[in-house]
Amino acid sequence: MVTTDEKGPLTAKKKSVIIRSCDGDEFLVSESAAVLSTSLKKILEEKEDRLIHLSDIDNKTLAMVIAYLSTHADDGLSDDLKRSFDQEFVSGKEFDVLKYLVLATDTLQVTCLCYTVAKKMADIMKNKLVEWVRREFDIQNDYTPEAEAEIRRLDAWAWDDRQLEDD
Amino acid sequence: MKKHGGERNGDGFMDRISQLPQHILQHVLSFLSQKEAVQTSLLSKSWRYLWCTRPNIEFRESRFTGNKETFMSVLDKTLQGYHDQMLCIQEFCVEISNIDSVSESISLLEKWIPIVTMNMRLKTFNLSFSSNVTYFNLPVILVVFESEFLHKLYLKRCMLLSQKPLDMVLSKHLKTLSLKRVYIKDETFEKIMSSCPFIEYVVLHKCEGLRIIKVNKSHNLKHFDFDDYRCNYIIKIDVPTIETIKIGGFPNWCDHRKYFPHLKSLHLKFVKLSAELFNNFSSNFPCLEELSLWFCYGLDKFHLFSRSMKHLILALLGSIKAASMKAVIDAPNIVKFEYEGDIPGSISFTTSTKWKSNIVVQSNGSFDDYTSSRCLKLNELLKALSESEISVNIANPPLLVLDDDGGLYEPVAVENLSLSGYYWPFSSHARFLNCLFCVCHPRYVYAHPSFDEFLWKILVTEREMRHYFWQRDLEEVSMEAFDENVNERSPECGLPGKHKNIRFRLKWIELSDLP
Repeated sequence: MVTTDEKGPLTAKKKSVIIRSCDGDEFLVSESAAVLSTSLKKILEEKEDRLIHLSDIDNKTLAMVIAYLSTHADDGLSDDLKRSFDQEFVSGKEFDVLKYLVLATDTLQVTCLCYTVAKKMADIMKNKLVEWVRREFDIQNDYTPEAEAEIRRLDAWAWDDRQLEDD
Repeated sequence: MKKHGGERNGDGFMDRISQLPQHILQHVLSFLSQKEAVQTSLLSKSWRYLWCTRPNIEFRESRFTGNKETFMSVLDKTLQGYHDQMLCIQEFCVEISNIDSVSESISLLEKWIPIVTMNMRLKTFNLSFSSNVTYFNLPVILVVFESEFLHKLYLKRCMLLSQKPLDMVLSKHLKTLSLKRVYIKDETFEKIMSSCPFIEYVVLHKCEGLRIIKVNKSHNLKHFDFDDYRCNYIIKIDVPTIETIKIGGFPNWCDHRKYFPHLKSLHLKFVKLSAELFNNFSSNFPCLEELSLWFCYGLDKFHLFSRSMKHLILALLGSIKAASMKAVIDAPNIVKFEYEGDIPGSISFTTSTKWKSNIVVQSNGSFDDYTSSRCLKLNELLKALSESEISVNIANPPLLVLDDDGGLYEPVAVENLSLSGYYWPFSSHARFLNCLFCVCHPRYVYAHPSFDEFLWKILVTEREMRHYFWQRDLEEVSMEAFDENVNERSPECGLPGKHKNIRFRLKWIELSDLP
């Protein structure tokens, strides 16, 4: 399956690249969009091959990253529009989706998307109690009550006003 | 992707986050406050020391929740941790607010700043002192300019004084320089500006010691933000790349270059202007989209022509100034016009798009009289704006209003009329509303809740009595209460309680028949 990106069929003038996800689907991407990823840029510089296989990025995640890259490669869009696209891009996404996105942007070295996604992940954790974060992310508390008390004592300042709300 | 090597908890259970590689978790943690970051140490054993390896520290004494005496020791301990593990800090952000222990803070900073800035990865350095009185002398601060990869520098309330001229500026990659209440000499500022070719963003707020601020060598400068209400200084901006300029203070505009090919937004407050600014405006500012002129001098008479202008804000101080202003605005692409001040002398518009205007009429005092000449001027202003969707806000009600039969005016359709600053309705307010409704026909009327009953009386219960000339043009009045819970408006039959946020919806007999 070959999926064209948002700009529709690519003109002959514009070079394009085919990127294959770990699920085997192929995506047609303009070179100008692909090179926004530092890793893809390096691959393209090193070899002539127009087919890039990404063994650890799934379909859904890759499609999102490509949508991002294509939008950011579009010279017709203003910086303001791109910024609001970024906001929209991460809003309402579930944590697990963001997690795969952040891993993909880390692999592909797309610094600005990595920043946006990591920030969104932090926003989910912001102003939340430890118990909430543990529950939300299924983190198992492997501390003994004594060890926990010791941590609270060591950095007592950080627990000062939360203590009451915790219960 | 589903399987990603990472740490496992003791029993092999994989949770939804801990399996992420450490550098990503550090990146995520970098967006949290210091306190929130420390709290993650309690999540589980694999999170125990993650927070103290994140690439940034952020200590703000004013927001420090622990025992105030421990602030310095916590900061010291944290920095020591980074030092012991040989970890680099990319973002250093410290705010000192306890002036009583400032000498202790300074000696601690004297110890750590050279160490922090020596690392190769320091990108952001942000140091501020909160005080109302003094500038803190910390000579060691100059070492930040030796930090080669510094991108952003923010300083507040400290002195950038060097015994000899600053000769070592190695931070060639500096993009943002923000100095607020910093004591700095012209030479030092110039040296920084000329040594950092990539500088894009300059903020100078209330910096003592600057006399002549020259910005002419920074060929990548995009934003310049200056704020200082002292006298006797000169600013000269002479870089073509600049995109936004914000100046609050009394310098003369004419000291700058004339041609700004990339300037998109210009905000001036109290700046001395001359009519010259508006000569060849369109060719001198070909990209200017946003212009705001707050209380600027020399705005008596001007003709502004700009094809690129989208948003224009004018604010005038004092009724004499407003009354003497004569403005001709020719902005075919304008989207929004905002005005604040007393009713201006005369203003005219030539536009060709759909646009909105927002007028805040501020009178000088509540004892100004709304005589017919004043109402006539308001009417003239609204007529000049009648091509736009108008919102009018009348702030501070006049207490002295003369009776007016309203026959002189041609009412202008207005989308929103809000009355602010009203608390107790006076008898004069009825006469004032009479004037207002002769001048404009608003679709929606908003007021302070204590004023609703009064409006209700005038608009609904007394309407049948037809005291006033305008009442015969009013076809229908309804009320809508705003429900914050569902974020929408619903019709209201009677006068609701005072706690409710309501607006009056007025339907007037078609204005199109009127000239």
